[in-house]
Formats: sequence, C-alpha cells, structure tokens
Amino acid sequence: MILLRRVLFYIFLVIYLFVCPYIILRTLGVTFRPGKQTIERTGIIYITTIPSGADIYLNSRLFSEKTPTIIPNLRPAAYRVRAVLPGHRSWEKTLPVRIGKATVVENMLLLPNQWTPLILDPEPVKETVPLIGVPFVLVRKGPQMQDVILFRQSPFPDEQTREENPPESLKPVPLAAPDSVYARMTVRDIHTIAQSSFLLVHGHLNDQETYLWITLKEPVEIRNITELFPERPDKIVWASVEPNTIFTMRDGVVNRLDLKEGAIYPQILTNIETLDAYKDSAFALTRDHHLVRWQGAQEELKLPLQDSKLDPGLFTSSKRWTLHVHSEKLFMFLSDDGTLLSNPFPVPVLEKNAKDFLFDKARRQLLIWTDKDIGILDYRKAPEENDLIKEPPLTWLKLKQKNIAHAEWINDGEQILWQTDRAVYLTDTMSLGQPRVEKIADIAKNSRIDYSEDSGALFYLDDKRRLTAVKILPVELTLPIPHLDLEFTVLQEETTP
Amino acid sequence: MKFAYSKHGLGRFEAGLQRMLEILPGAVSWMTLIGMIVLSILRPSWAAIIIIAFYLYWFFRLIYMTIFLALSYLRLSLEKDTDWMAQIRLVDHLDTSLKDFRKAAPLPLNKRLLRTLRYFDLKTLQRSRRRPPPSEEIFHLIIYPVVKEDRDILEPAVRSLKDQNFPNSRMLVVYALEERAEERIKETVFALEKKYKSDFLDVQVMVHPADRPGEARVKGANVTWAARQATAYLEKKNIPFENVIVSCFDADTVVSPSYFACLTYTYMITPHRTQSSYQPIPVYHNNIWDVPGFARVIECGASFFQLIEATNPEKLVTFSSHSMSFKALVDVDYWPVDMISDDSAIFWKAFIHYDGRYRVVPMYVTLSMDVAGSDQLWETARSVYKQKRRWAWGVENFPIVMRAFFKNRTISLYDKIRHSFKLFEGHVSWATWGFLLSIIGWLPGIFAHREYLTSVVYYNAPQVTHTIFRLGILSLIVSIIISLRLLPRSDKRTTLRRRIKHAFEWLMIPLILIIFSALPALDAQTRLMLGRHMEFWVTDKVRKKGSPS
Repeated sequence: MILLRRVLFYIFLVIYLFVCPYIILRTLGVTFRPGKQTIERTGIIYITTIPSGADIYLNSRLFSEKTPTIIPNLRPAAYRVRAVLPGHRSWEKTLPVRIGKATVVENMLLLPNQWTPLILDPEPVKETVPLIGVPFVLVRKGPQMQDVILFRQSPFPDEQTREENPPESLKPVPLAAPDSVYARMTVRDIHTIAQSSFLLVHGHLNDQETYLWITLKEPVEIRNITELFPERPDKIVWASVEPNTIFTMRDGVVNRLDLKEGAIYPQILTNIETLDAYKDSAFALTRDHHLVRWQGAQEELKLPLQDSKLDPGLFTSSKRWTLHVHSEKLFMFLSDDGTLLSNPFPVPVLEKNAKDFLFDKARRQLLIWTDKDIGILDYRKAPEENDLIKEPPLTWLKLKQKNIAHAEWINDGEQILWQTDRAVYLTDTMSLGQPRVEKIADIAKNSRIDYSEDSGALFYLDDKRRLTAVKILPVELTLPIPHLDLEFTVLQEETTP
Repeated sequence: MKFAYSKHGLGRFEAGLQRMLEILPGAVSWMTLIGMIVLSILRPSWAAIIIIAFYLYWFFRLIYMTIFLALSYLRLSLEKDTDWMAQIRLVDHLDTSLKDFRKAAPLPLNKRLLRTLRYFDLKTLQRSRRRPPPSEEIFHLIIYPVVKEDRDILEPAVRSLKDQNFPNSRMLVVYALEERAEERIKETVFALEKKYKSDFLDVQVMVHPADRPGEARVKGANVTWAARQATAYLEKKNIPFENVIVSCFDADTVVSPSYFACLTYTYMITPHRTQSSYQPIPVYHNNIWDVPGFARVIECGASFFQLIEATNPEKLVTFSSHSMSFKALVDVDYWPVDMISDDSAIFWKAFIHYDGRYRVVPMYVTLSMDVAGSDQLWETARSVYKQKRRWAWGVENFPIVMRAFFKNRTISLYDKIRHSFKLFEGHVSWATWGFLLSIIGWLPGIFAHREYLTSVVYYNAPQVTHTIFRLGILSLIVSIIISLRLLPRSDKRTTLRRRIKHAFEWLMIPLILIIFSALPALDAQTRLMLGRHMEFWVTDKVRKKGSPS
C-alpha cells in the first residue's frame, strides 16, 4: 500500500505540475497554437440573450455552444457576432476583442419575428391609469366608478397556452360592483403613488364631493374618507410604505390625515409650494424655496440645502415646481418648463425641456425624457462630494423622435420601453449612441402604456382603444452578475436589424 | 532521547521557543485567510489565479484520498469475517504455518488475497527473527476513564469486552475513576466492577485523586494514574510488561467481538511490537440514528479520515481509542498529564523517546463510539463543535514535537521534516481549507472592480472552478456509497428510508466543512496562538433507550 501511495503520489504530482499551469494560462487567456507553434494572448466575448439558447455565429461560423456562453481564445480583432434563435429576429453586431479583456453583451433581448398582441377587452376604453410597481392595470371605460376596471397583470399566458381570449387570469374586475353604493359615483380624479397598493378616488356621489380610499386586492376594499376632506386639496400625496397617512395641500397649507384614527391634523406645514411624502415624513419646498421636513410631533425641520449642492438660488424664478423624494437625502425637483434639479451632482440635471423622469433607486440611474430624446444619468459614476469638476454624464440616446410621452426601464435596465403619442418602442440602453429602435405597436392617441415587471408584458390601448397586452420579456430565471460599468464605446457600431 | 514532553517547567529560551511555535500555526492560518481576503479585494485577478491553483491541488488530493479510502474500505470489508483466533494459532506455530501455506487448496479471490496478506505477515515476522511470546502469555489491560459517564454508556462497553472471542481470562479491565466524579457515577462503576469481576482476569477501579500537583484536569492524568496502579498489579502477578497490550479507550468504546484477537495477532506479527501503537478504525455507530444528520456526516468523515490514514502507516499517528505495548507506555512514563490531546501526544512522546523508532500499525478492525451530542439540535451542534475543537487542540503537540526535533540528533532529518510538515500542514489546512473552498474562493467575483469585471479571468475563473467542483462530486458519490456500506446492518433501525436520507445528508458538506471542521480548528489554533489554553471538556453523550450497543 505504501508503494502504491508513493507511485500514485508522484503520478498525481506530475499531472498537477502540467495541468495547473496549463489551466491558469487558459484562464488568463493565453493559448497555444500548435499549428503555428506560438503562444498567443487572447480575449473573450461573453454573451447572454433573452431568451437564452440562441445559436452564436462568429464571423459566419457557428459556435459550438448556445447562449449564455463565453467565446474563448479570440485573437484581438473585430468579430462579427450574430445571435440566432428560431422565431426571433437575429441580432448582429461587430464586437472588438482585446488582449486579456472580455467584451460583454449581457441580456441581449432577441425580439420575436412578430409581436402577438392579446386583446384583453374588446370594448373601447377611455384611458389607462398607470399603476407603477403594482400588479394591476387600471382602465376607465366611462365616467362612473363602475366603469373603472382592474385587470391583474400576471400570470400572463404564453402564446401556446392561450386557450381563452382573454384567459381567466386576466378577467376584468370592476372597482365598484354594479350593486355597490359607489357604482354610480362620477369619478373626477384618480390619485396613485408608485409602489403603493392604494388609490384615492375623488368624485361626486349624489351631488356630494366624495373621496374613496381603495385597497387594490381581490376583492377590492373601498373606504369612504370624505369626512377627512373639508375642502378640495390642490395636491394629495402619501408614502407607499405608510398607507395610514395622507398629506393634503391647499393654498400652501399642508394637513395630515390619519386614516387609522380618522383624524385631521391641520396646518402641519404652511407657506408650501410643493410637497411629497417619504416613509413617515412630509417633505416640502417652501415658497421662499427652502426644503423642509415634517416628521411626527417634531418641529418643522429646515433641511440645509445651502450646504448641499442644491442652492436655493436655483429656484428663484417664477417656475412652478414639483418635488420628488427618493430617500431622506435624495431629492429631485421638476419645474413646469422642464428644469430638473437634483441634490446629488449634477445640479441642475437639465436646464429645460425635461418632460418627466424615472429614478431607479436600486441601480441609482435616472431616466429622463424630453419631447425628442431620452437620456440616462448614472449616479454610480458620481464623483466625491465637493468635487466640482467631474460630473456623471447625462447620456442621450439620440432617438430623433417627436412627442416622447413616457419611458421606463425593462429587463433590469438593459432596455428602455418608451412611447410617443402614437406608438410604443423598445431600445437597448447598452447601445448608447446609435441604439436599436424597435417599434412594438401603434397605440391610441395620447394613451399611456403600462409595463409589468412580474409578467414581462406591456399593456396599452390599441388604435381602437381596446386594452391590449403583448409579451415583451419571457419570465425566466437568469443568474444576475454584477452590473458592468463597461466602456460603451465598444458597442457603438451600427447594428443590423 | 530523554525529553520532558510538556510545555511546563521550561527554561527561558525553551519557553520563548515554545511560545513562538505555539503562535506559528494560528498565525499562518490567519495570514492565509486574511491574505486571500485582502488579495481578493485589492488584486482579484491574482486571487482568482491562486484559488484555481489551490482548487486543482485540492481536487487532485481529493481524488488521491478517495482512491485510498476505497482501497482501505475494501481491506476492511475483506477482513470483516477473518477468524483472528485461527490467525493467532498460525503465528504460534509460525514455521509449520508457513509450510502449510504452500499446500493450501485453491480459494476464491478474496480468500486468496487474505491468505497472501497473512503469508506476507508471517514471512516478515520470520525474517525479522523477532518471535513473539506465545499467545497464551499475552495479556490485555483495558483502561476506561470515567468522570461523568453513566451506566448506559459504561455497561455496553464492558459487555463488548465480555463478548470477545479472545479469552476473557487474559483481560484486565481497569476503570480510571475521577475522585471528583459524582457519587452516583462512582456507585455505578463499583457496581460494574462487582458484576463483571469474575468474567475477566480482574476488574479494578482506580480512583484518581482530584487536583494532584503537576497535573491538569485532563484525561491523560486520570489514565496515567490508573496505568501506574496497574503496573503494581501486573508486577505482583509476575506478568512481563512486554506481554501486556494496553488499550486506552473512551468510556463509550464498544469493540467488535474480534477486536482483541485481531489486536493480539497484529501485536504478535509486528517485529518491533513493543515500539508500536495499534490503531483500529473508529466508527460512531453506538447512537448514530439518535443524533441530527449533520453529526452523522461529520463522524463518517472522521472514520473516513482514519481509513485513509491507515493506508499510510509511515505517517500514521494514534487517534482516540487505540492500543499499545504496556512496556512502551512504562518506558515513556505514561501519558502526558497536562495535555488534552493525550491520544496523539502518546505517539509523539514514544516517537521522541525511541529516537524515531516508533510507529503506528493500522488494524482493519472497527471499534464503535458515540457521536458527541444530545437529542437537541443546538445542543448537538454545540457538543460536536466543542469535540472537534478538542480534537483540533492536537495542534498543542506541534511546538513540543518541534522542540524535541530541534534537540534530537538521532532522528533523521528526513523523518523530522516529513513528520513536522505533516503535523503543521495538517492543522493549517484543517483550519483554512473549509473557508477557502466554501467562502473565500468566491470573493474575487464578489469584490470585482471595474478592471477585473472586464478581464477574461473574471469570466474564465468561475468556469474552471465549477468544472473542478463538478468533478469533485465523484469523490462525494464514493463517500456516500462507503458511508452507507459502513452503517451497521445488524441495527434494525438502519432502514432503506434512513439510508436514503443519510445519502442526502452529505449535501450539507460545504456547511459542515466550515462550521464543524474549519471553524473549531481555527478556534483551537487561535486559542493556542493567544495563549488561552483549553481545559478538558467532557463531551455529552446521549443514547436513546433501546439503542443497540
């Protein structure tokens, strides 16, 4: 046994001494070309697609593995890479490969040969009410409460399993049943908050101003809270995590409504221009352009904008502002003429023409759109505080479109879904500069789209104002890898649709 | 060489050297772990390359060990039905037996293999010209240390002695009873002495006085006291020490019926029998089904380690319950009385005393002990952790052995390097590999910065490591098969359902590696490094009523 141990030990030692350096060199991208008797340093291409399983052609030669995959041992050069998946349009791009480097194409969305819309309701719809981060679609078909209809967003059926049209999972649920006392209430406004499962519906019932607090679940819960509204407010906000507190503002005076106690706490803030809620606090921009915070029984707290990058001097114009609080330290202000200010750098984000924006807190990226273009600002690249020179760049997609009305990220920020007043489009964010722009559908004029992260489906009103859905992303498990701050220059070349 | 195998009573220089050597294993383990973490943060590419080199090394070593685990298990299976008393008779009539081997009739392959092994045993003995005493003159001294073990632990052990196929009349059973033990325990021990006295040559209870000067509260002090008392007993009976084999067992040790016959045979055929220890394969079957799954897997791992080590007698060190020549025990002045790891320390003490002419002879026979634990999950986890930390405290031998090696001029340099490297590397890898394999190996990817994220290493390294781990599953499969085959088949509780469950319990290995292997070892080394010496901790051992013994 001892002899056997020794013999095997030396055999294993010799194998290790050969295998270990070989594998390490391969890992480093160093490869031996037996034909040329040379050792070369190489690079790789890492490519993942959605859906996965696409064939990869490298300079017209089929690669042995399907996506997601690593194409190893590539000499430094430009390679024509094509991803092909049956039923989908092929994706092609010229990618540069550098020594010791990985060229990364991550979560490349392969678009289907043709979109297959699913009409959820054959009757025309007046408008959609976008509910961000909530698994429902809300539509208004008429003026009354019974005409406000909820559709569950998921599970969204695959094309193969669509036996019913629409399937049971997507059947409509009226916000107020026909026999409900609120069924015939005339709806004037529907207030929503991103990530909140509550709605505040304002309307008239029997000639009386009525405010209903609605919990979006099945069955829908309706609570009449009209007694908390002695007069009609100019602005109503609440925090998504604090559904028992509503802040209302009228003529610069803020009231707090406690839904649990059914009580009004009047005049918690005065001389206010605009207002937002975050957690248990109300944040407001005063008319003399100071940011203040109200939190519980504490005194009104003036926040030191002067010490941050947001100088009150920036507000000294006749603009009307809206405040957006993303955290206790991150505020954004949008004016009626499209100036967007933000307290982290850069200040201002945009001098004019900003129509609206979305901030992704998890990825710390801002999506901003004007009438003609969409821009991305990555706060992860923000410089250190007090560094006045470097600023994270606001990168524009250069869409050359008109009437951009709304945009939002999909596929973990890899693509942007955006709409004009007539159509909805899809664009890759990784292809900054000259992006692939894919029209998905024509939509009813001035209607709003609604995208569901849960089901990967887009909901919109078609040209006949019917509520329609189309599956954009297959919901599949993908292994997340750390987000790459890649040098996007590698992907700026022309794409072949 | 005369050497005081102790960390106490040293001169200034010796004490300084001892302290420095105490720091060394823990410092190297911590430096390895912290160094790899820091490297993963600062230079993830370098860290990834080092990790690949380490994973490959681990993989080859794993395969190497798995081969010998399988071979060792095959040998154990082959020897399972050996009639050791018949083998003893062959040694008693050595010359005739060797002649008879040539006349033996054709046998099946396994029997032929065994016959060949026996033939080589006898031939080696004949060539050595170191004939053993006749088997009838060989006696066994069995010492059970007792401090808090109850009757349900002690009686199955003594019953297993009674059931030996070796004559009980040549077995002297000694209970090394701590004076500080509870009265209830003392009464149990004396009751057992009375009950079984007539079944053996004798059953004696040696009460070890509490807190004797120069002793720590350790098992070694207790069994040394008992062995010294037994010396007088043997002298009085005129039994030569060369003819006595002493087995120092844990109180829960249940030996297989052929253990003492196998031990006697092995003792007889070993040419330098009085300068050898005899190491059986420990299994932990007494309460295997009474403890949580993770504890079963850990103890299977301990048995596997001994199975693998058994194939390498040149580097084998005594572990847990084992046996040795009583003469050697007396020559080396018994077990250390101030060390916790008396089981391995006695080997090193003898190795140094005999200037390297001492070895451990593996025996392919099992003895069964309890899995440390109770019926509560957390209690079991606590007990297992503490037991493993106590095992890992064997690192306390390193500084003493090194000091002895520095002084000794007779032991060859090769032997010194071989043994000290194994001792050192064994403990450092024990404390670090679990972390490197389960956690630190993934850190370069987690701490990846911009530069590393765009490098080929970032994408290639996980592929390489995944492939290595996938290949490593082969070893896991072999381990599962052997562990299932090692389980006691006679035990009615070993149902098919339990076997399947046990197979899946092996999937906990990554977690077990960290919590019950690397962490206690690192804990022990850190304590030694910081000079926080451990007191002896008596493991809780619990068996449910009706557990087979």
